[in-house]
Amino acid sequence: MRFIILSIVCIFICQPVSSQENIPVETANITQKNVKLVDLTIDELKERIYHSTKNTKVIYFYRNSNTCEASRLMNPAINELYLKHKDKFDLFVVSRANKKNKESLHNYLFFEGYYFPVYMIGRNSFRSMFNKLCPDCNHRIIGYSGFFILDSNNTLLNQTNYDLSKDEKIQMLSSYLD
Amino acid sequence: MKKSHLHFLFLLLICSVVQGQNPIYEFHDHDSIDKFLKGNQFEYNEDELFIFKEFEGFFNYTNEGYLRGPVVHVFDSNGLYLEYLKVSEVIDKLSNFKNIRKKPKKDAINIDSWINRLVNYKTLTPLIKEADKDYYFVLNWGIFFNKPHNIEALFKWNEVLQRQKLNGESIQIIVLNMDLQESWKLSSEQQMDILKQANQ
Repeated sequence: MRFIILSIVCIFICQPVSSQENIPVETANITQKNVKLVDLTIDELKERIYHSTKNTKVIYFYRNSNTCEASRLMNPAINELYLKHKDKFDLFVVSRANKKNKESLHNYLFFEGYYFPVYMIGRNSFRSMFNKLCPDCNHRIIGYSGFFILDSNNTLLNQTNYDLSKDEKIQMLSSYLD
Repeated sequence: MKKSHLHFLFLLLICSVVQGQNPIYEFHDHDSIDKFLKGNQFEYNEDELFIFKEFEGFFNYTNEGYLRGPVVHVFDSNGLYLEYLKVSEVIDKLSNFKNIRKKPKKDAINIDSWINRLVNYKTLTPLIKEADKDYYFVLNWGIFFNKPHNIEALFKWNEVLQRQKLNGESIQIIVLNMDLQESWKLSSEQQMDILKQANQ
């Protein structure tokens, strides 16, 4: 018995328990087919945004949660808001991933249970993205996990900045959805 | 001191230096497992949650080197061991099964050798292997991990596999709790002896 106990103790201590951080998400019945990943140019995306007739259009700058702390907080919140209010606004989630990373991005969206539509526009700089999509935005104060809001005429209603917390960003967005 | 004891003592020293973890071992039953999982708001299906039927099964499993976690072990449609998923591989392999290793190694074990040792954590009824599945997944965890985010990660992987099931994938999911169990009916002296040494 002593021999058995000693070996158990050893094995217990030897276990390689990883230190991976976990990102809580709601349990969603998302399937591979539900993952919405669209590959297009920045001009094509602009056309989609500008042709939308919704009173509120939100353009959100996406990055995988495991590489960006702000995105780790914001992505699930945006997903939740989208699921609750998708009839009230058009959400354009913009990813700078390129075609080469399409499969891994697809896997990531499924893994996280994200339903929102993601538009892959490739490696455009933030400056060029804003020049195209929102010339009136201040691109110097916004980055991943930030967004701007347009009305049906594509006039800028509001935008986030680096100083806003997750809750403040969600509050800002929610105020346009009531 | 016997040579075998020295060997284990040596391993013990090496392992404790390498890992530096601080796990806490206790004996558990279905009530304490439920309480832990519900308290942490982990989603789980009672029918898919299993424990070792007997101390010997647990002991053999540890001796074979499988008592590690959080980890996902994958078996193919014939029940042959394919691989365990490293944390860095989990997203790509659980989200898309085509990324999982295709062929088992020549000396791959069969899942039957594990299944025979396991019982449902609540009913203590034997685990039944479902026929004609494309993959069998065994998710290892324990309350003793003492790192809540590791357990969170494992139950998130379980959520992903549940979604795959809903997506029509033909899989069986076995969530294996590796804690010491009251149901093994060890004497209180044996339990105390194990805990004393394990928690040193």
